[in-house]
Amino acid sequence: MVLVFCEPAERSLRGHSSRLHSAPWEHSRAAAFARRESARERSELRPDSVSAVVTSGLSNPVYPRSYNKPGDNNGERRQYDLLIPHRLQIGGVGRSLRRKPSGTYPDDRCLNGLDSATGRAVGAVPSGAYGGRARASTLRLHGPIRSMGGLLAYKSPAPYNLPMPAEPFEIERLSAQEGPRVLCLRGPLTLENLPQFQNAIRREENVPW
Amino acid sequence: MVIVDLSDVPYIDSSGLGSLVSAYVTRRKATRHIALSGVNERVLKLFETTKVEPLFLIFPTLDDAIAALTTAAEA
Repeated sequence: MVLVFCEPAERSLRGHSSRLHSAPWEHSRAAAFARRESARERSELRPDSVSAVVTSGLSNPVYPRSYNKPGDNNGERRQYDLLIPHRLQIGGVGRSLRRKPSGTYPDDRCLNGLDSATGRAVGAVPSGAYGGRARASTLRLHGPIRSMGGLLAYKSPAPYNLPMPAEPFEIERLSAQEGPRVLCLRGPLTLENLPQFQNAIRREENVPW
Repeated sequence: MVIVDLSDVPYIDSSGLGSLVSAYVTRRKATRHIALSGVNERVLKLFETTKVEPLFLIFPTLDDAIAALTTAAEA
């Protein structure tokens, strides 16, 4: 299973991938490496896990920035869109597929997904196109993620520590003058009604027979 | 002898199990016993899992428990 997500500005979903072409980057080493990584990641997919790579978030009309293209000897700064690969995974620590760009880049591009088979949330590991030092940041989400209009939106998980519904608990004492004494319990014996049960047991212990 | 009828007890959590074991220990020190009746499968599975099943005299129904313990007392 390959999940590929894109930002609202990158809605052009084609099959399992979202790709907005950027001519200078299409044939760059970074793009080629990202494509190889994507193919390798997809080949490693297993039904019980989600591992997806977005290697084609080539355009970023929201945050265009200038970077020096590798191999440019003249040092000319050109306007390029970033190649933003995302590695989505369940569990473990994500690793960076690419190096973080030297320039600042909004990390809020982290998108998140959901394994539709297991319903578990996946986190996104954003990494930049090239340049700078290798660095990866892992975003972990716990909770369902819904698809909204072709996009995936994170849904806050429901509280997991809701109190248990209280169920009535009663103790009825059935005893005759002779013979064994009987305590009839009605309801679950839990922490909430523990004192009631302990008191009943203590009362029976005080009986001399 | 005390019989605790669990016919209407759907489940027991760990604290409830601990209280039963505590009651067993207390009565055991006083050379008394505690019997359980009407234990459903869920609770019985809990007893088996936690290895406390041998501690208690367990009877299928309350009538069986009363009959058995009355007979034993008379004998």
